[in-house]
Amino acid sequence: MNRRALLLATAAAALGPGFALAEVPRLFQLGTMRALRETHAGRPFVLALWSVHCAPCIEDLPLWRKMRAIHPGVPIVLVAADPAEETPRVQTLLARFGLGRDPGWIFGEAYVEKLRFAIDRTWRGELPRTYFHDHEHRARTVTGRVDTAFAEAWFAEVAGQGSR
Amino acid sequence: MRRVFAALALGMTAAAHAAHEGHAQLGATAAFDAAGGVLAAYKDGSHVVVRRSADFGRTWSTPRRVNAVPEPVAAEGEARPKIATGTRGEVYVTWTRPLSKPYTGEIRFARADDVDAPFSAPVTVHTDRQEITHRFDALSVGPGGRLYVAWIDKRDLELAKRAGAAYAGAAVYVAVSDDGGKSFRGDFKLADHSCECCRIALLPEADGGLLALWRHVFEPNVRDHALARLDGDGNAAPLRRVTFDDWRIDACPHHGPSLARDEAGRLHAVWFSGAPGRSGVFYARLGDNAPLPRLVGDDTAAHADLAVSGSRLLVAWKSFDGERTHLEIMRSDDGGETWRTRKLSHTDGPSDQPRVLTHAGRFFVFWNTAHEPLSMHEVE
Repeated sequence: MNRRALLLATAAAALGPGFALAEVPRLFQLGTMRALRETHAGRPFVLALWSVHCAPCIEDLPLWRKMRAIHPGVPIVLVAADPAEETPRVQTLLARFGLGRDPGWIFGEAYVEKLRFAIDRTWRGELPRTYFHDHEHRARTVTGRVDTAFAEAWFAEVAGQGSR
Repeated sequence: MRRVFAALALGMTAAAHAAHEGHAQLGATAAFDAAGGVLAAYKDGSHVVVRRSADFGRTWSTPRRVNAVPEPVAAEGEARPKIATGTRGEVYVTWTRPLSKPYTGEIRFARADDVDAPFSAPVTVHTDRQEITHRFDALSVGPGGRLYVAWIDKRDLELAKRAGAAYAGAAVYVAVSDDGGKSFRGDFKLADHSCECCRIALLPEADGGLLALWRHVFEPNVRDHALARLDGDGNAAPLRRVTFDDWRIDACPHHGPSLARDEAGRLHAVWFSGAPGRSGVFYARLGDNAPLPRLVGDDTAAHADLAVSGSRLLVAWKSFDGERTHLEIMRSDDGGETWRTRKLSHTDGPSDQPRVLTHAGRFFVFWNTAHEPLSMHEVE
């Protein structure tokens, strides 16, 4: 069994029956942030940085599941600021919280300062860290747990603008 | 096979990448021994290893394993193996062994009689053996040789949960050894409601007591810093809030403070805050009538450390200019009144947090980088 298959099997075993296996997160690399901005040009999106080692981050995951269900047209891009070795744990957690079909990304570059700088030069690794990008990609930055009322209002507003 | 080809066609997947390159964990600490050698401890797979340099970091001995039996070792974020030396040449090492449940761990300790002696079999320093959080070990040796190990502990949170009560953060616990690490007494609770994932700064006192500085959770969710004292008998005095950034947040800042005392007895600290309009690394003298905190470095400054020799102070931190990581320092020769700042080194690859060491009145910055492992920089 190759390493990838082994990791996937491990993740599946950890989930147990009744859980859909999560997709594999892609590697977030130096050009990824720019690519994301281009992919979502002219559209709002949320960039949610989290980690398997960060309890408040995991407490925010149900909110992302809920917002995906209510506003499927507003992408929520999850980025695990963990080394690629944590891929099975990322998959396990996201599957558990119903986010496994779009697991987003995991840090794929050991020089994490470069990745952080590409996202936001002032971000020094605090988690969770969330960027609510509007249609013009002006970002509202939230460090720490996201206030549910704020998130609901923000999603409703940008979704409403999109349908006009 | 088809799946493998599909993975290759899609580009590198995370798992394939991990298997291919691995991930260097650079978390390392260093300490001088009585003979003027430098000892460094870091993680190598399932082992903590120690190396010694007799020439201030230019060359290092071959790595020596601390734990003979492999076990998981935490060395990411604020976690890294710690090393300290005793007053009779002893070598002490602590680390966090993660357990199977998320966020859980044990604080491990091993000792050697001197730099050439074999390491003892590792022991767990706390008497509480629940599979819960005991993580982010801190290690320090007092002037009389007393050994202190502190850590972040969630036993009180677990008790509160079972009682259906709310409990913010975790707690800080301490174990003390009076026989060079052959035995420990404790677990002494220093305070409830610490932040969960920031390193603790320790400062042993001449009378056998211990000062600790850590990121606390003040009501309702203010993650500023607290200072508290444990006396030699393990009694904790009430904590004192010493930073006032008012950073209200439910998060993992992953930035712990550093603490030192000058020859006049004044306390100096560096810390990080992300409070809106007041974010960055700060230096201040702690206590009444102290000047306002001073911003350290630019808006990329991170992971500052501080040491004192007499009335001279050295602060070191990392910054990033988009291409390279810089090791920056600021130095005061007058107890923190005036400062000179300069860049000391840089690297264009991954790097650990820097640590400031003093030896015989000289300042050194220890910085483990992927391109220049276990580098030592003397600050003239």
